[in-house]
Amino acid sequence: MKNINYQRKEGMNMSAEYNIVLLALISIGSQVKTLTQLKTA
Amino acid sequence: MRKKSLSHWHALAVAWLGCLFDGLDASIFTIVLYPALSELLGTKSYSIVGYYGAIIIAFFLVGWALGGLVFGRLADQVGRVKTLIISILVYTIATGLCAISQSWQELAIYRFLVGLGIGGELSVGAIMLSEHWHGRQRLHAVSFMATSWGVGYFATAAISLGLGQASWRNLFAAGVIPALITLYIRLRLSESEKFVALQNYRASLRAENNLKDEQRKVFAEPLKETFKKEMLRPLLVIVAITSSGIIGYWTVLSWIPAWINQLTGTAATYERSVALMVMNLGSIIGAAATGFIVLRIGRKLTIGLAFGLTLILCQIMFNTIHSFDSQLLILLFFCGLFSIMSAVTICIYVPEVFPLHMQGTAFGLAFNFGRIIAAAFALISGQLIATFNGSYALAASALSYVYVLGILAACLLPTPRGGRLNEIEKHLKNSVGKRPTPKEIVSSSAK
Repeated sequence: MKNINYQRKEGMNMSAEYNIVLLALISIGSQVKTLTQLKTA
Repeated sequence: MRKKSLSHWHALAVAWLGCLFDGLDASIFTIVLYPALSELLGTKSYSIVGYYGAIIIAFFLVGWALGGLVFGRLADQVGRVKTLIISILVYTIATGLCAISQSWQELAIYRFLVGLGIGGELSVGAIMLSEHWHGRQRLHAVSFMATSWGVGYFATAAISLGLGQASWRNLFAAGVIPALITLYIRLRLSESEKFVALQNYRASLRAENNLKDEQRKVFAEPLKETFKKEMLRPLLVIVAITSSGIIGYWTVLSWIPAWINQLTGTAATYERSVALMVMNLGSIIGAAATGFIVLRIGRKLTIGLAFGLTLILCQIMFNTIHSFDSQLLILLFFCGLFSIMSAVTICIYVPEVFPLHMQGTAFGLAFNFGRIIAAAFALISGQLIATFNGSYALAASALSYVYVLGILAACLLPTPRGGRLNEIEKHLKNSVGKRPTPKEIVSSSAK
């Protein structure tokens, strides 16, 4: 088994967390869009 | 436009919450697999943890399959609402018990019980939703329900991130929260008009002596009915599709947190949580989009494309990624997005092919039989990891070819039977409205 010396890249936390927030907003938007279809279809 | 009563929205809320907690309780183990088994087995070996992890996943999947069958049949006999309450209580109590496990065997038994409850809840929730919502709205309602699976997984990852490394027991303990929604179900949810009409029809026929053959079907054993010639082809094709998706999920995607441990060579609580959050945000968006995609390109193509793209993504991911970086996160996002679409499409499709009086059983069988096969594959995945010298990536890459089975099965998917009504449905049609004709179903898919 390879022993990988891993170190979290600098700035990774910020970038990952920013992207997660962005994706979370998109996913909420997609759910709202589906709900809107239920009201109007 | 069909007017919606509050009961439609209560059914949607219950199905969404039930599925959310299914996702939460199902995912806890994949997140804590490595730390929990390391502690219970007293080892840090990836191969040993992988081997016992696979056995526990197999226990869970067999429980899930049996739960789908047992609770599905129960739902056809005693009703959807009662069955839903029992199944939710089973999986929440069992998840709580996982927190006090002292050995891997004990954990395996509790995970079996969690699977039993989750299998029941998912089958009954989807059927109940299909009875309350109709036409195009049904497609979107099922899609919306499925988004909660990803939300549940996302919540587990977020909780894990918040609680830190020594948290696997706390995480299982948090899994008892869903028991509270059974109170909401007791207070707010009632059986659908369709199911009430079916029960009334059964009651009225009990008083009669000379029943026609078609009328006798209402009392027939639903499991036996599902295996009749006209139902066998759709059943087998659906089983092949669901098996492919389930095997793929439990032998490929569920190993991703453990693979990240391997990639980083550390406990990687942060990295595992971030990866799962990204993947499940993808699955929320994928589930929400499925209703729209099915309406645009149809059921067959949606399933085929979903499996095909998941396979390609898995091959790229497991063969080219050698460290935890943003490339991995992008691939995981799209894996989550496409991998859920086939399951959502099948949830939409099952009520279109099986009659109302046997839908719970048919759904339980079609959607969960594949889990028994998946349980066998989960054991194989444990062996395969050991064969590949403890490499999760090589084992997952090899096993991801199971999606080819799903693509082939999707090509054989029969057209929904639409307006071919039997005697029971003719009666129900007069009580609660008509079933869509095949022409309506096809035209709604084409739009």
